[in-house]
Amino acid sequence: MRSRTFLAGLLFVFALLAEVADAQTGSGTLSITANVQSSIKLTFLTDASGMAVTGTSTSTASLPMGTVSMNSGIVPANVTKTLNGAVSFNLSTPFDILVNLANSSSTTYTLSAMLTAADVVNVWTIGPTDISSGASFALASAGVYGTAVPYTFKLTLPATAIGSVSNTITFTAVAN
Amino acid sequence: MRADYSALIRGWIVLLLATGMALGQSIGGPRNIAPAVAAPAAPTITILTSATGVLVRMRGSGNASVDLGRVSFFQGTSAPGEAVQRISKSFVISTRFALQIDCPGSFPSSSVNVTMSRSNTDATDAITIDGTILGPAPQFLVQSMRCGSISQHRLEVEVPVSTPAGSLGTFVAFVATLNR
Repeated sequence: MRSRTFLAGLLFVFALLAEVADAQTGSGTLSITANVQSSIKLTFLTDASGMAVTGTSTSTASLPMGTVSMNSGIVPANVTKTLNGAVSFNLSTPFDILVNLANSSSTTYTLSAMLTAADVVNVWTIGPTDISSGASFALASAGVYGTAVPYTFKLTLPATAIGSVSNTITFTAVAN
Repeated sequence: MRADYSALIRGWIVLLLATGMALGQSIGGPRNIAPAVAAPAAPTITILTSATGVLVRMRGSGNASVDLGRVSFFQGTSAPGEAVQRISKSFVISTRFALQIDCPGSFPSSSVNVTMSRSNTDATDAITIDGTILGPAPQFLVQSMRCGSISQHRLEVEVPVSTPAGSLGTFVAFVATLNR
């Protein structure tokens, strides 16, 4: 009888020890939220047959034509100079525009160009479009993302032109 | 012979109980058998803001939330404490957070194993903590983390460019298991 009591006590102690040995767990939860925005990016690239674009592969680029004259001198590599009789001359070069899109189902984009300061002396054209007035002009209505598209920039200067000529063209791509 | 055997077991039990009672007790102080055999309370997890991370909002009893705000592939993010890195067909938002583990009723030298898992694995985004991509199965975040300590962790959310714009939401569950 005494040994049974002792055995029961022993089992009780083991039961308590087993409870102590059970793995204790605690938990926590981290909620993560974000708001994914669609985004579009326009970059300028040097065209294979165009002059080197300063800032190629970025969204801010320039075409520095250097010092030119109508009837003499040289022009930068891949810049074409043509005379319009004795009245004026053109400087032209191709450059590329690449538009990429992320997190959107849009398949095409609209591209427009606008000259920052209207110019009544010189003529600024992108492809066949004269943008000299400073208004916004559509260049493409269904551009394809991820494909570099060549455009020809042309500046027509009168024979009477002298001094520095500069301006800024803002290109805007909008997802359709 | 049987009496000798019983005496040996009795002695072992007494020694076991005496050892348990003595641990953590001041000399000469009151002694109680209950603490020696009572199970320690479950570990608690507190998710905290890291010094270099986004704000972690406490939601009570181990729950917390982080809002990574407006993010995009090309514009990145303007929120402090996080960064966006573009890779070829996706972008990764990264930040840091801290994890504090407390083990009430346990010895100061106690430690826990911390596992992590993700509830919604059907999402197009991938969640990575300290380089481990989370899935539905628990994976170790920290092994043998000292109770009462705080650990720092890097959280990354990778969003493919093919993911439609909109809200993104997911849950990461942490479980701390007290080591014996």
